[in-house]
Amino acid sequence: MTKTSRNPRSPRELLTPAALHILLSLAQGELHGYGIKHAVEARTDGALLLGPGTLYEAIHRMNADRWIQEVEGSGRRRVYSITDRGQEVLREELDRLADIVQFAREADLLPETP
Amino acid sequence: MRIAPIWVRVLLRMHPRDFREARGDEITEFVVNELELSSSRWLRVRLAGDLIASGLRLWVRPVRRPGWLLGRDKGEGMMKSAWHDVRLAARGLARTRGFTAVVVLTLALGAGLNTALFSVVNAVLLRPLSYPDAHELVYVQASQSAHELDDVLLSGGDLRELRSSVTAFEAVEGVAFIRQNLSGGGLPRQAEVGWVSPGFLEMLGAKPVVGRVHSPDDPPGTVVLGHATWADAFGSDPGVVGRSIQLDGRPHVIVGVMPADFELHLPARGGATPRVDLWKNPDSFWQNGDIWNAQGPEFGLLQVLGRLRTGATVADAQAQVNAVVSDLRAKDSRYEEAGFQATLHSLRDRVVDDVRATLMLLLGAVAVVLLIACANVANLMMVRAQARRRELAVRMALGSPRGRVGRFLILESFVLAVVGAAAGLGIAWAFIQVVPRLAPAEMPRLDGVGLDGSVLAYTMVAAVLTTLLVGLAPAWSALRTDPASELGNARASGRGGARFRNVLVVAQVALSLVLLVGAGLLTSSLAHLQNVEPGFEAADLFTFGVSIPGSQYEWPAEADRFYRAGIIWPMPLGGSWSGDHEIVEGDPKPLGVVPYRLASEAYFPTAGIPLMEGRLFRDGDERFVVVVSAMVAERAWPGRSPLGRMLRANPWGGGMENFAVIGVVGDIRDVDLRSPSEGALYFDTRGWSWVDWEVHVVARSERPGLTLLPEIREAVAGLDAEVPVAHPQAMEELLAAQTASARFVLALLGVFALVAGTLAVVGLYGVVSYTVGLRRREIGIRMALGSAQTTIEGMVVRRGLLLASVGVVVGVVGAILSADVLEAMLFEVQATDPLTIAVVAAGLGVAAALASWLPARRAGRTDPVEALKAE
Repeated sequence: MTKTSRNPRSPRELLTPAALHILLSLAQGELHGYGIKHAVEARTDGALLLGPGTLYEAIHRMNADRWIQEVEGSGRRRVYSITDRGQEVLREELDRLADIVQFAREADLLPETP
Repeated sequence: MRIAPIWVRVLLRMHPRDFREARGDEITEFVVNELELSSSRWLRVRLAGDLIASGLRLWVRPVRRPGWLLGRDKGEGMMKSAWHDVRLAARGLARTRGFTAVVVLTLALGAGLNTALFSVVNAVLLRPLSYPDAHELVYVQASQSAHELDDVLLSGGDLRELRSSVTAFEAVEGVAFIRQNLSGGGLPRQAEVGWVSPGFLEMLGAKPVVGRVHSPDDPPGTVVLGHATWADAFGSDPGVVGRSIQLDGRPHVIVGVMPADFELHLPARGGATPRVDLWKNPDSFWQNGDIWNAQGPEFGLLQVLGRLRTGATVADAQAQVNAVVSDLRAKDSRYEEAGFQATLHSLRDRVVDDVRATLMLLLGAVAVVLLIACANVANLMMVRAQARRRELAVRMALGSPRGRVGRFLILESFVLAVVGAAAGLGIAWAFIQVVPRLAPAEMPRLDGVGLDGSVLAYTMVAAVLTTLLVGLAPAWSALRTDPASELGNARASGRGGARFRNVLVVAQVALSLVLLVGAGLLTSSLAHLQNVEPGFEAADLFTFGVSIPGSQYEWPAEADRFYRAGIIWPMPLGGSWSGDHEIVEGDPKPLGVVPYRLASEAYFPTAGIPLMEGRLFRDGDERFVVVVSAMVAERAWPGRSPLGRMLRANPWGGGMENFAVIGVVGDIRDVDLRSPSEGALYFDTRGWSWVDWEVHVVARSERPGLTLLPEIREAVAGLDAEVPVAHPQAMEELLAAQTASARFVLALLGVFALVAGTLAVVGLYGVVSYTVGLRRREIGIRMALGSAQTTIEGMVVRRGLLLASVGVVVGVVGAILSADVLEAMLFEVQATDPLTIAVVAAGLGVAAALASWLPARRAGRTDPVEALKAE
């Protein structure tokens, strides 16, 4: 098991579900905003419905912090891609989640995946 | 980009501008896509909710803030920092005392007047009646469409029908009011008797302090004393139960005493519901005999109340009442001919019906005052915010988030609103001491007016609304400040809010004009009302009632000695009795329904009603003579002398009989000052047994009314020591009561309108002054270039007048559009009376000119050197 020493954030600072899922979607390829929504809904079987405010607020903030960026010349429908910095944040978050899952397994709180 | 639905655009306006500009198109696209897939209302609600949430989040945690995407704020708690800001705001306000005092005073006026009026509305309109389960009580309102009567009394027989057939009523009971002489102990007194069906008091849930209320087994004429009568006439003797009292000389047994706080609430029928001195169950000891058992539309006696059975609705009861009515109309042609109907109303709603419109009008007016006060304060706050733009810009440049700055400004408004509301409670308290004294007698339930929980809650809500009204605009304008441009340009123009301020001033002037026009119309209406000639000479006229006991007098010879005085019944302006009469001689035809009165010959000269033709009654007359008023004479025998002609009438009930016309007198206002005279027939008092019936005596003296009272008492006692003098009253008081309601509304609306007008003019003054301050440099340059002082002054005054005249024009349109609201209250004045509107507009114009001239004079005295040096 790995202890993540790279994580500069305190344990209480969590990514919002919207941010995590947007990063996850963009990690698989460039998408425009409405496409992200569909990807997230497909992946979560509709459990996470992204409203327009939530989606674009997150995009706006992540864009401002250079976690994602607009693809140059993407035209009327703006297409976004994940940056290196975004990859790093996503990685940290996934590690953190993995730690939690690992802990849960060891504590017998979660059955092994079949 | 596709066109966004309006609500999306509105919601986007809520977001910070940078976000809106960057993401607005994409969000619109998103929403349009979603709505193409489904247009369910639920989807729209979800999308809107999401946009509202993101808007709020973006304000509270602006984008640039580090740690934005991450869970909760760690460091300072939201509340803790808010409290810090409140203290900061309070300290800042304490430093600018002048500003704070003006704002608090303005808000206190607005909030105080609102609180006071709401306390009246709450006590009169909103509180439940003071009976257990008062919501179950309904009023049975009978009408006779054939006679255009919409609230007639029901007969005892009608009550019996309702009781046996309407099962949705747990109880249905009736009350009539009669006056009887109560004797034994001290002066004889006239008692207002609530003549009630045996279950009446029990239905209202009355809990007697001594003994019990009526029971169905009580013998006729059993009495329950009112609390005041018990205290005054019986010294609050707890052993009073079982004792006998004399009413009109007949013995009645007391079974109980009502509690002090019991009040009877009934719909007013031409005057306030009387204060009942004692309650008596049905008996036949009255001159009309056993009228409780009479049935028919002409035997109206009772006001009827019902209590709904638990679970029954008004609709259930109404359906059953309708069945009773159709049954009566089918069985008895008199009901059919009268067009008899009965409808049920919530008792409370009917009790307050007559005053609801008045109070709602005043509540609307006072809300307008609050709006104007808010506009004034918002303007002051804007000015203050403009003056602090640099300070705020520095804060923002140093990293204070916009949301925090905005919140600070809102909190500042909140502190002001709360302090203003608290000071307003003082104003409200003072106002509440005065209002009940101004109120007309027909305004019910004023005793409950006070500052209770619901009134305080209302004040709180008003304070919060005030906060939003006065705080949002400056906060908004401050947040739009761009720190870079504000700091870069040392001579910030500060004109950003100019348009907003102008709109506020125009709105203030317009709203205050509407109120002032309303007050002007009511003033003019009241003047007309007070100039109405009632048809008799009210000055120096004095009236009182007497009722002689039938048990002691043989009719008519012995009673006759009372009728040497001027006797009239009913009182002028005290309503009238109407009968259906026929013309027999000349042109035989029905005369229709005409009011009639019973009078003695001395009445006419005493009251100052002129005899125009023929003669008055005299001893030895046939019983069947009649004096008609000029209007009746003209209607019945146009252009011919009515003397000696015959009328058929039945003033004392029974069959129609012929009456010979012997004289013609002037017309008087019968019902009230507003209603034109309908003419009248006068029958001789000697034709009627007056025992047990209160008649009114008129007397004329140059001595002020009540100083005459001891002599009158003595004179009446000389005739019969047991007969009381009831309801002594100067006729001028009775006339004053006629205008009490109009004076009440005018007094309140007048105060509101004056406060509103003053605030609007002060607001105009503030804006013009401020603009002069901003343009000081420009004015300095103009003067340096040779502009005359008068040119500068003219320029400033023109600006103020321009704003005022736009406000006046808008206000005039508003006044005309809202004319309907006042129409019903006006007497002989059009709600769009051009003269009133012109006078008010001109007055407001003059005030506006003055308010602009003061700052103009200051501008004209600007020293160019100083003005240019200052920058």
